[in-house]
Parts: sequence; C-alpha cells; structure tokens
Amino acid sequence: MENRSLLSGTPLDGIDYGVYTASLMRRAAGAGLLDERALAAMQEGLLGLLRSQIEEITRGESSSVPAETADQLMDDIGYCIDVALKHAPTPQESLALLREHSMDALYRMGTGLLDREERACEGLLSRVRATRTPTVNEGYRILLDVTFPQYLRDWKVRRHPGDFVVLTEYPLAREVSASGIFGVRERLESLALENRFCGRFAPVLDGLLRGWARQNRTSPAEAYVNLFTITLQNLLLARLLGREDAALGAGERAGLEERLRPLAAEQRAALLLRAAEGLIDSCAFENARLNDYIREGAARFAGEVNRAGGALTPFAVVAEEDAPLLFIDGERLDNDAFSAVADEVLLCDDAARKARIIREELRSLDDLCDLLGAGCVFDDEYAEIFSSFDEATAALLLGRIRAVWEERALRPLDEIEWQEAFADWFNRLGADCRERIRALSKTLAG
Amino acid sequence: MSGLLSLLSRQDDALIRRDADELLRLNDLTRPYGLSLTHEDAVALLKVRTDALKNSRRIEVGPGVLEKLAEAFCDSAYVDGQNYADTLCALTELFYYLKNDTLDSLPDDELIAVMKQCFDGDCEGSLELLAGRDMETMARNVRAYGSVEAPLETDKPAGEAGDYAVEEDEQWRTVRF
Repeated sequence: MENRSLLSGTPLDGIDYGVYTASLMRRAAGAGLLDERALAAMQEGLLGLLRSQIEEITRGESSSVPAETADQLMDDIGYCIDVALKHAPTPQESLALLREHSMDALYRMGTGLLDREERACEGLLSRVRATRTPTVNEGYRILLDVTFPQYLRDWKVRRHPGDFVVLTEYPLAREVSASGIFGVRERLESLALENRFCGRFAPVLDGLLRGWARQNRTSPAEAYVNLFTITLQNLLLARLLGREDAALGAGERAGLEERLRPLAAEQRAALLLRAAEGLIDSCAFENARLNDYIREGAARFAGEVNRAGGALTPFAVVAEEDAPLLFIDGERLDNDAFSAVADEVLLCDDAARKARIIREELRSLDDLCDLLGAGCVFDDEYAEIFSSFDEATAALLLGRIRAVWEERALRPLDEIEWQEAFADWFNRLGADCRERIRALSKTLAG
Repeated sequence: MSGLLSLLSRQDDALIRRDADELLRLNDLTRPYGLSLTHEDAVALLKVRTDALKNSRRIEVGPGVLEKLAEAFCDSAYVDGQNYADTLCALTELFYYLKNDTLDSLPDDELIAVMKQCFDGDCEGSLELLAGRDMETMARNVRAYGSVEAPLETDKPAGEAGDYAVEEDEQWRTVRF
C-alpha cells in the first residue's frame, strides 16, 4: 500500500544521480510508490523505445543486435529520460513526471532539452570565437578552433543524443566536471567570461605567458596554463603593492612573500579577496557573473597561497627582464634532462637559439658550467651566448674561473675552452662593464 | 551506464509465457506440413532462444526470428513431426551464432534464406553439415569478401591474365602492364 506520508521525503533520498531513472524507479517501487502495473508499463515503454531504435539502426532488417549496441542504445535512452526527470526540482516531482507521462513522452522531453542546450552552445561558441584572446598558446587555439566545434559537429550527426566525456587541451580557471552537451555549455560559458576579462588585459598577456613558460621550462605555445588565472594572480599581487598593472619584478615577489609568510591563512585570504574587490571596482565590467568568477578565482588563489605557506614562486610571473638566468644553488637537471638539453643545444646551428635554450632550460650555475664544457658550443658561438647573459650570470661564471689579472685583463690559468672563450669575450667588454662584473663577482663570492 | 537494461531482464519469464502463446499460432501455418508445436515445445524453444542470445551476447526485443525460422523451414523435406521442435532449436542457436560470425552484415531474411538453401541442398537435412561446413564457409566468405559466395578464381594460365603481357627469354621475364 502506498504510504503517502513518504511522498515528502525519505524513500527517495539517496537516489543515484548517475543512473537517475533506474534508481528512482527502484526506490519508488521499494517504497510502494510505484505498483507492479505502473512498473510493467514503464518497462514496456523502455522496450518499445529500444525496439524502435534497433529497427532504426538495422533498417528493420535485423531483430537482434550485439549486447554492446543494445547497451549503448539503452544508455542513450536512459540519458535522455534522466535529463527530463532531473529537470524537475525534486525527486518527488520527478516521480510525478514519471507517473504522468509515458517513457516515449519523457524521452522526447529529454531530447528537446538537449537540443536546446546544443543551440545555446552554438551561440556561445560563436561568441567565444569572436572574442578570442590573442595568444600563441596552442591549447587555447585548438580548443576554440578544433575541439569545441568537433563536439558540436559530432552531436549533430549522432543518431540519438547521449552522454559523452568532454576533454579539453586548455585548462579553465574553474574546474568543470559536467559531461555531455551540458559540460560543453558550462565550459563555453566559463571561456566567454575569461575572454571578456583577458580582453581587458590583452597587452600584458603575451608577456605573462612568456614569463610563465620560461619559469616552467616550456614554450608559450605548449604551456598548459589558464591565461585568466595567471593574469588575475599577477594583478592581485600587484594590487597588494598598490599598483594596478600586472608586472612583477623578482624583488617585488620576494618582498610580497616576506609580507605574506608570517600571516595567518585567514589574513592572507582577506588581503587577496580585498584586492579582488578593488580589481572588480576598477575594471567596472558591469557583469555580475564575471565579477563572481573573479571572486572565485581569487578565493582559489588564496587557498593555493595558503597551502604554499605564503610562498609565491609557483604562482607569480616575474617579468622576463628581471628574472635571473640562474642561481648559485639553483635547481639542477637530472642526467637524462641534462643530456636532452645538451643534445638540443648541439643540434642548433644558431648561437641565438642556443642562448635561448640555455635561458629557458637551465637554472643552476653548475649545470651551465657543465653545458659550456660539454662540447655543444663552438668557438664562434661563445661570444654571442655570453653576451646574452645578464651581468649577474657573467659574474657567477667569472667566479668559477681560476685566473689571474694582468692589467685588468683576465687570463685563465686552466686550458678549458669555454673559460678561454669567456676571457676573450670579457676582455673585449668596456672598462666600466668589466669593473661592474668583477665587483659583483667578488660580492657573490662573499 | 543508465542501468535501465538491467531493469528489463526481469521481463524474461513474463515475455516467455506471452511469446509462447504467440508462437503456437504458427501451428496454423505449419499444420498442413504435419508440423506443430506443443506448449511445452514452445516454452522450451523460447528458453533456447534466450540462452542462445545470452551465449552469443545479443539482445532481441520482441518475438524475434523464431516465426521466420519456422515459416522458412516448415516446407523442408528433411523436417518432420518427430524432429521439428529439435530442428528449430538447433536452427535458432545457429542463427544467432551466425549473426555474430557474419559481423551483422546479413539481414535476418537473407541469412535464413541461405541457411534454408544449404539445409535443403548440399547438407541434405544434416544440421552438423549445415553448422560445421556450409555455414562456416559462408561466414568466412562474408568476412573476407563481403558476400556469401567467394569470388570466382580466374583459370587463365600465367602470362595471359588479361591486364598485362609477359615476355620471357633465357635471362629475363618482362611484365608489361
């Protein structure tokens, strides 16, 4: 006997939203909310849908299909009916829909809702492509020009609507777990907001991406990073310094870390969230959803900074001119990575490219000395490579050379090719420059 | 996975009872040939069908091919009142096996027609020959050539295959296309 008091709740709690219709039917049947006749009618309805789809895909020429095909057909049928039932605000109202409508009607309701989602996606994709962020990042380009259009094309040619996994080459600021056409729509909505934000800061994006790529040993084209996130993070940190631009120097980052490390987690979060509100006010996007997206991004950033104990190195993008090439105790590459870099430098026939590889891949003075002595740089290339280094790096290298000074000219004591080349290059520098490097070398040596 | 397919499996027994009654209506067609199914025969046949579908990992909705098999084979000289039910059972199992073995490329009607032709022809009513020889060959042809019959091999001697000319001397064999 049906227990009407149960309509208000408990038996329909704990429904599995992954298999909504099946779970709802089982729970309702178990609670006496669906009798045998109603269940049988629903099962007949499902069989009828399956039969008509089998007839469609076999052109009426076969009464049976492989179980995998039937599974897929039934999954797609179930997905559409799930969509129709989940559209109701509560499981109780879903059950009412289930009782009042045939499976065929629910299926058509579901496909109608899915078609509406797909039309919304078309409009969103058009907007996202029209407002695309100008960037060399390949992941972003592929997402807009290949991945999303392909998902929509695949949807249109599908015989029957169904669920599918959404995978993207470009990470969004907000993680989206939704699948199927709903997942595509949610991702497009996020991308539209991010494009709007990034469009305001387009002039600095390229530099931020290059800086992030350099810091993470990759190229701007291949970087797997969200442009909105790196821009927002730098803007918030710059605001903590009282500035409204996105550029950060290495010294400024270090200074901010000194401020943030001693603070409690709540204090760091409060600072960053206040900076976000300031950013929202000054940008005046007049878009509540974008403002909320910025606030969510700031909250995520605050969480990550707190997990890092106030450290900013993983997050802040330092301006390229300000970034030191390497550190005395910088991170060393393992043997395989070092070999790979050495091979890459060896295979370059252009000194400028070799210099770029060295700047992008090396952080440790030891690694740099090893590379210079590895036989992958040739005579006439040394000068151009040394010229690409900043004075700090030149000073560090100077500190590694056993040499004597003969009337302010450097003479290395060891017959090591790169050291002799360095001495040649150093001795051709202007007197002021040589003095600065020599003084810096003494300072760094302690 | 929607989980709905598992809800339908409970239907088996109810379907079998209902479908058995429908299957018995075939007796009107087959009785002139001296063939008829009892209710027990019909239930057994439907259970064989269910097992055959399960073993061949196929799903069928509705009464399926049993009527078609009965209609096709009822006029065979090799099917009589004694072996009618057993023959239908064997043909049912063979049918679903062949649907998979031919990669679902043959419509039901065409497959049944080929089975009947071979059963009445070279197999002379032998189900063993039908399953083990003729249908194996047919399925292999479908998989290899896309048709139930293998294409005819050319019997022209080498060098006269039509599309190219061959000249030979003591040292060289020249093929001109």
